[in-house]
Amino acid sequence: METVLFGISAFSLVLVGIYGVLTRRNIIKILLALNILETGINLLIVSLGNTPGGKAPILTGSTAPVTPDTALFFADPLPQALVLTSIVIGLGTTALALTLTLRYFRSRKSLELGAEMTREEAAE
Amino acid sequence: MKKRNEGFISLSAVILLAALGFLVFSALTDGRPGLNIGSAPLEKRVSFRYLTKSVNSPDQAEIPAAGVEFGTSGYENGSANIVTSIVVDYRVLDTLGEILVLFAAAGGVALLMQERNKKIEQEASVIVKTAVPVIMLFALVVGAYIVINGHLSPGGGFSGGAVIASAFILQFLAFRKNPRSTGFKITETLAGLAILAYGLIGLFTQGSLFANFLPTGTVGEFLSASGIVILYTLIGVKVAAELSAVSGNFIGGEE
Amino acid sequence: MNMEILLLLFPVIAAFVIPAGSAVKKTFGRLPALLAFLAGFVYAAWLLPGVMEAPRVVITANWRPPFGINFLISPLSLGAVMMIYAAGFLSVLFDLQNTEKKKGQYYLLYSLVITASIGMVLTADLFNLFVFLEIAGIASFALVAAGSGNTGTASGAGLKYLIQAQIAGLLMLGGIALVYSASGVLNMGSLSSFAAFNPAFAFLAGVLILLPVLLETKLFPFNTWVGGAYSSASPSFAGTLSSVTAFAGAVVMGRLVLGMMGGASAFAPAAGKIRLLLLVLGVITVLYGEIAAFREANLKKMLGYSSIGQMGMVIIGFIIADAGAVTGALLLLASHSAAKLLLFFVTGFLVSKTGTPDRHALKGAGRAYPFVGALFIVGALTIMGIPLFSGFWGKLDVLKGAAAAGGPALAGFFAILAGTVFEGVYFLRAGHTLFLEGERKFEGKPNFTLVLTGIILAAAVITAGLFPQLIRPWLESAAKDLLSSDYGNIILQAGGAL
Repeated sequence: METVLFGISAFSLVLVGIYGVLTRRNIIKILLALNILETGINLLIVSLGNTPGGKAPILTGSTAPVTPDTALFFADPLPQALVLTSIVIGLGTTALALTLTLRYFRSRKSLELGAEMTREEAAE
Repeated sequence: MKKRNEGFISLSAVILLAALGFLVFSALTDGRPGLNIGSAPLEKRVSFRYLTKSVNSPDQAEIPAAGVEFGTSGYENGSANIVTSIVVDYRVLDTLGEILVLFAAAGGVALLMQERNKKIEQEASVIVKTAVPVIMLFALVVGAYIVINGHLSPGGGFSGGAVIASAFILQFLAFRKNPRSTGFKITETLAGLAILAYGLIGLFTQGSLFANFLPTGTVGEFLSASGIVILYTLIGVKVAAELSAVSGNFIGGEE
Repeated sequence: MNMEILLLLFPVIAAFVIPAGSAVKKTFGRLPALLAFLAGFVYAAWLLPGVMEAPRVVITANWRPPFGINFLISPLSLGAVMMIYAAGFLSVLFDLQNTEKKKGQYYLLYSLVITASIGMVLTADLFNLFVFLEIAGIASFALVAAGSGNTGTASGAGLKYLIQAQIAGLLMLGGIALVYSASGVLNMGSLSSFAAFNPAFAFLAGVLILLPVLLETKLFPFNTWVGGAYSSASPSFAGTLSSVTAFAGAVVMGRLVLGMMGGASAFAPAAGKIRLLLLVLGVITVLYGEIAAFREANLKKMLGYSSIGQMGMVIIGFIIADAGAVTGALLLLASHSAAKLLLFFVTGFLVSKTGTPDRHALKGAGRAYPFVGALFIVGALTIMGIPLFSGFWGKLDVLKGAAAAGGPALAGFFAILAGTVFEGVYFLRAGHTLFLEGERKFEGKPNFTLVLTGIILAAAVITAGLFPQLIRPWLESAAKDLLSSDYGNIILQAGGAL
């Protein structure tokens, strides 16, 4: 049940993100929507690794030995590892996108994609 | 006119997305035979063998019944944090790719941000200037702890490196001082080459890239899990240097 | 031993040493990149004879597939690796005498593009493929935005490319998550012979996974980024976009569609629908690309749109999925890479002389620089598919395959013919401008690096055109590798049971 709930909220985030990218014209808003989309996808991945009532896949002093039977009580660790990588990729992309936005703004004096060139620019 | 245009775009986007959502939902709940979402319970997934540390176990067709217990040794991978074991051991090439992604992003920012910000900002107040060194100390210690405890608790090189970088970012913001980015570049290079060297040692001594060549130790001990501590430390250093350099590029200031 | 992984590591080493070197000297970076690409090419060429006998599986970290990540060194992937290294080497060589000296970071990012393209082609794991696609993407966005011309336009083009590629990449990640949830594995080899998915689910997951590859190979409707990116990027990087990233993307698409989503795979119930969709998109792409190129005055954009058309033809060849058509598609892909790179080098040189990429400004340039003009003609004729140049054999085989397959493939047949007509028109028109028009004074001589790289590429396409038997063995075994149903077995035999 929780998995379905997570899945639905992840999917809504994805839809909100795509909606934002399609309809917004301000670059910053588009980048925000992209980040929402990314959060949605990450949530989707983690939720697919959910085990109802599962424990975090970390062995501590109080964890029972992990045998083929007791292993089923852990949450799936692989989606968590995938999300770790995905978050870092999102970070790199956002940093680069903001750099491009800054350059665009300095040159075009506008934050909308498809803005006209200023007169100073055209004289370059 | 513009408002109607915008409304029209928004409306068509909503309709498009609703249609897509409906299609996806019907695909996921389709009743026809065949595997669908959620069809693979945990025992059928690859993670099952990661959890029971039995990927390369002698009897590969069956999973040994003897379990993995905290405080014992002799497993193929000695990490107590199973997610870490996946990130740094079983699927280490994804982590190498992740390092390259951050590397590319930092390189792109460095390539493209050539003009420094020449704006005159407000000086930071006395409170900030006094508090920041203290906070920096805490941030560095916590960050270092997160990095080197990646195999015992949640954490690892990426999150720890980000915390360490935040200490440097605070310094940039409070003191408007951009410590020479040459230092960061050299740290980054050395850390990266060290990571590659670790992988190549595994290649030449054990037969494949990033293979474990140090003993796996006891699950739960600090000095366990083969090279995970080393790799995560190097990754943490590299990530911290990269993120600090990126932030330095954005914030600007004098060299 | 799994030494073949070194194929992937040479450019990584170069990329890692560049930041320290650039702290010492700003333009440091050409030498490590050149050495790395040369080393990679030589190593790949040395491995080729052995791999033609039997493909090899390289594992990492000593874990067996499908638990660890593994790479497949096969005739197709190794040949692709050689072409990628060659293209990278020639591009950096060409840039040596470029008027604008590039900063060290440019070569860092360039090496990462090459690394990622090689990784994409070799890998046999879906998530690993995603990571390499992202590396190539991020480096490409930065290199596009760093290109020549107006800062605002270049950054805008880079942003558009970034936004579209990111959405595609994230949706692929969603598709990977769905596949994992349904099957429990992430390995492409395992999935190619696995219990079947639900048909609707297979279609959904398959399309999601293919999205970034479709964007990379510029298929309609994912190619709105192309015009801006090609006109803003520096000439050698625009050539790289065609010859390296699009090339790798096409090889990966072939591997995914024919290998991972093949007959006995988990995606089999939807494979037919996916192929039909790709065929339709391919046909539209060919027409869209060639018509757009025909109408374009900016030379760099024109070449970019022409690449779109060529990629559409290659996809049609792959979809027809019979040995002759796939062999033709591979040859078409390879000659397109070589010829497009040549055309971009020539264009780069000419643009640096005239100051504008508008093709009308090139009047008489062919007469002022006859050798450069001849190189342009060689490249153009190869793309058009005229006999004596390698493109001819490629197109011919794809056309034969399309005609033989009948049915929907006939639409592909006509689209390719129509596309070729358009190609003829706009290339001959450009040639006319170069040689037969106008009197414009040009100064200076062609760069030595342009001459050198131009001779190498022209010799390659002419030799392959006159003596196709020389490369037939490689092409045929690559096609066989792509179409074989053994993909899963080859990978899993190194592993064992799940």
